[in-house]
Amino acid sequence: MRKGPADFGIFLLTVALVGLGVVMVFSASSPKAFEMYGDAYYFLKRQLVWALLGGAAMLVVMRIDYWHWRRWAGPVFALAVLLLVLVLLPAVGRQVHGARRWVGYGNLAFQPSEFAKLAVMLYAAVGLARRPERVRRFVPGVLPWVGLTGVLFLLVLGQPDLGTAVAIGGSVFLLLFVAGARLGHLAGVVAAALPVLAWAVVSAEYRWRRLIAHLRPFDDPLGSGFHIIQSLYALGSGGIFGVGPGRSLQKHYYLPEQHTDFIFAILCEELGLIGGLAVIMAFCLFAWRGYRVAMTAPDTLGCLLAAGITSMVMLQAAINIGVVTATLPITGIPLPFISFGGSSLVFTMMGVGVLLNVSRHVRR
Amino acid sequence: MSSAARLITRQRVLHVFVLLALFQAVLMGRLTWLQLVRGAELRERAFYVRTREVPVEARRGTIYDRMGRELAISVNVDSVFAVPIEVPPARAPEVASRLAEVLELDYEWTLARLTRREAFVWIKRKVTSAQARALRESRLPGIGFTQEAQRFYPKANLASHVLGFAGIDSQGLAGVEYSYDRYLKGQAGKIVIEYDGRGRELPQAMHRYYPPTEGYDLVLTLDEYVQHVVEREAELAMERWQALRVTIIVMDPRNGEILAMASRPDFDPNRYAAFPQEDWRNPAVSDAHPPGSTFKPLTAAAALEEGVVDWTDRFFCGGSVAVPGDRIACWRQQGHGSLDLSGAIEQSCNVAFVQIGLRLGADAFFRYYQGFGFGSPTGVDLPGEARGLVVAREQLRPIDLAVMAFGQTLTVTPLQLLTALCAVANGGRLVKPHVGMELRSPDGQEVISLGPGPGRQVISAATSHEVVRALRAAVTRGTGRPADIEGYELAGKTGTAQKVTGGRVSSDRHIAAFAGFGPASDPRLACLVVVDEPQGSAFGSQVAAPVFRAIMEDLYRYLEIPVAPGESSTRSVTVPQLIGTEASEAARQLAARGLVAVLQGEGARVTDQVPPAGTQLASGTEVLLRLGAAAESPGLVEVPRVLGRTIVDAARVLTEAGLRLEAAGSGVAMEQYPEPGVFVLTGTAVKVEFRPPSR
Repeated sequence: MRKGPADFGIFLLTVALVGLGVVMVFSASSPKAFEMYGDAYYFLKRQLVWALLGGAAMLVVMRIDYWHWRRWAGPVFALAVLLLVLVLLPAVGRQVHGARRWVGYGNLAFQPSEFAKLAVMLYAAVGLARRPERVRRFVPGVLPWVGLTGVLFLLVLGQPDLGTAVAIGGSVFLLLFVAGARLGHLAGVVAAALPVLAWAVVSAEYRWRRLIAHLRPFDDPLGSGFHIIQSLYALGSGGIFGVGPGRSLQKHYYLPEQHTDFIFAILCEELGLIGGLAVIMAFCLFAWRGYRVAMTAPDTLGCLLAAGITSMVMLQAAINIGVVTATLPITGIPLPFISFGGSSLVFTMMGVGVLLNVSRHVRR
Repeated sequence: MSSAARLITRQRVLHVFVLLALFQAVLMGRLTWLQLVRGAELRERAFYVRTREVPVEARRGTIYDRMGRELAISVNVDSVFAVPIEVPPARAPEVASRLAEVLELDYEWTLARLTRREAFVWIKRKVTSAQARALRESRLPGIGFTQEAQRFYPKANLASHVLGFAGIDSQGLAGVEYSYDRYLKGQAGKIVIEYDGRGRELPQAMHRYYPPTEGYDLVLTLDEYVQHVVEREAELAMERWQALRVTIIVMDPRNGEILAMASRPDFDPNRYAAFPQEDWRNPAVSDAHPPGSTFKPLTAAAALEEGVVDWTDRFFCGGSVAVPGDRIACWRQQGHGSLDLSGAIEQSCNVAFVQIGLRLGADAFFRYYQGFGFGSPTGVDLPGEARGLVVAREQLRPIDLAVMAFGQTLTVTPLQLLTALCAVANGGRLVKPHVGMELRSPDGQEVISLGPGPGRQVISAATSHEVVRALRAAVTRGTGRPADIEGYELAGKTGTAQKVTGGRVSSDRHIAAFAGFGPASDPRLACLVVVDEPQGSAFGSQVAAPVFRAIMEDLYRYLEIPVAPGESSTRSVTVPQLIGTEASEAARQLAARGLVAVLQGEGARVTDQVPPAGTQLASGTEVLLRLGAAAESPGLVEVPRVLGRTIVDAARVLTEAGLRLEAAGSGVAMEQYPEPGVFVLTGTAVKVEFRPPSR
């Protein structure tokens, strides 16, 4: 089969969003960077390195024809599960802010859960594409994936990282839907997952408080409502045109996680409603191009890979922006391409590389 | 893959896209709602959380006398505050001990304030400039300064009862400071400073400055020179007669303008708290006493107006008179013999006035009592007015009416009495007494005139003229002779009242008074002198009339009131500029012009003079020279350079120099007026324009 050019729209949107992310990370993090490290460029430098690393990974993966993942998806997935188990061990996992999410040291540390996100998509897409008709039956076609995802969900939740766990579960669910699972079966899965989610929320007191705070942030403005209130202040301060690049005031220790999970709030404060809507539009365009690749992919594997990766990016963006705008309860999850964080950026761009490779094989 | 399965897959991909896109659309709507619709509200709340306000007190309006001389001014002084969150807990004891040391505060108290969970606490307000300077040099974390206006009464005790005083928050508490507080106080401003989430000033944040609105200036009808004369005479009378209290009012009978109002004992409004509260009261409006014989002209006027007596009517005084149920003695035991009305006024015969009062009757008496403004406040623009007491109409016995006719048993305030006398003097109009002349807005654009209306006619002009003539006679040949000055055409009535204490008429405690005016042909000055409980003599003619005379003598010269021909013609000379000169030199200069130097205070140089340079005075007049050391005089200061400084900084520099900041814009100082190096009076506002620094 002759290879065509990669989807230019996806490539361009990815580069644009990553570029915007680097700028925003610099702006949002500079006060904190200067305060903590005496170097306003501390986070900028790192994000730049990761962006270049992610870009290189994307270009490399883009050249690997996607059917090769049939062979590698299994080992990659196994490695991801192994790392997820390892990170929970106190001897290996590094604890930051009360959660064990990191393995490795210093600049070489990374988050296995970000890796697992990509790995499970590859593994599920390959598995579902191998026997496409099996997904129509519940026990052999749907239940194994639900079980597998459930295990991952619990492992990630154990760190604890509810946001990433939900993103993984949601992405696999969307993939099962695209693969052709019966609606009745999927409804059953949802019915079974809801009590688990409810338990996950109620089991940790802080999650429950966050949920309440999300609904009524001004009831406890200095406690559990602080985060979301500061985010709303940032949004409100931005207005239509924003206060201007670099001129956010909320980043001065009012909004926590200003350069990671809540970078979108700073973006909206500095660039205004115009900037915020433009970013959401960019994600929608990305989704449109990604799903178009899925629809025109030459085979089921290509279709599922493209759809799964696109869903993963889109779902994370939706959850992140939903949280920042106080539309969804708080769960820590980075905004793809834009938030500071090497693991998220590199593995997301790797995923885009897979997507771009599929786009080279679409039927024209 | 079958084509049917492929179709399902493609449809489902589309469904997922639509689902996620719809959710993104919801987020777009949500974002628009938050940033557009609720934007302003959230922005304001965020601003409120990020900022702290340092109050900037409004400059309280200046109080001037009628000639534009300052009686009360506001000078800016420093107040020290703390922002506890900015004081590092480890350094709090050190900061507290330094504050306690410099400001003479209790260490424990200071430390407790520094560790309060509040955004803003006062440490000490209105500190001295030396204290402020010492603290600034210490550079204590979390300690800030703000300018506050401190009320300053440059003439100290002068007119203290009229001026009253303002408290620590520049709120008027007494006198015109109280009655015109609404206009004088202005509106406070603030400096808004933005902080980061950890309580540090944001590096690139602007300090927003909301300038305070200054208060209106108040111009009084008082004349500082007249007031000075009156104060001087009150002081002398107080000493001469060892009196309990002396009250003097000078009023313009034509329009009710009060030119001077003074009482002893008085107080220094700069240090009002150091004086007993009793001394803060203004006896001229707050104390009611029996008017005694000074009331007789009013009884006479009422009787004439009612037609119950005539100038040809004769009264016989045998030393006492019988009234139903009692017998009333005249002050002259042997009696006055046969008198007409004019004679009764001249000789102040009680027996004659008993007869006049009984002829007048209770109804008419009360009509004129109210007509002359007794029994109700005069409406003067001063707080704390008393109404005065009178025997109730339904309980009135003939004896009461008889006694009230010559000014006993009823009580009136000095101001009520003088106001009523002014109606007799000015052709019959009861004018409303007042001390406020006008209010001027800080920019000078708006002037509110405070002069009241023409007043109401109480007696006819004809009656007025007749009573004036009788009062003139009382001075030329009656009991008021000690008040007379040849050619001055003074008219008036003495009064010697028995005090009412605890509801009983006292036989050994008196009030000596003189109520008069001049010139009789065209009254321009009315003056009431009340000496409460003089020792050695009780008679108004002996105690109060000479005081009246001395005051009129000075005021006629000062006001250049023409003196009847034949009077010694005095040369008019110009008062020289003496402020800053040495005392002996100043006295020599005055003597060379035929003026008399009166020195007050201690020090080598003249810091103030009354009247000011340029005034035309009759030779022989006194000029008051206030002496002092150069440092404590409200002298000149050099305008410091504030260009390039922030608002907070510029305010500090100017305050240290004793000047005020009048800021415009925000950022750093780009222009200032007056320019650096120029000498100006302390308290002058320096206009500084602030603009964001160009990068």
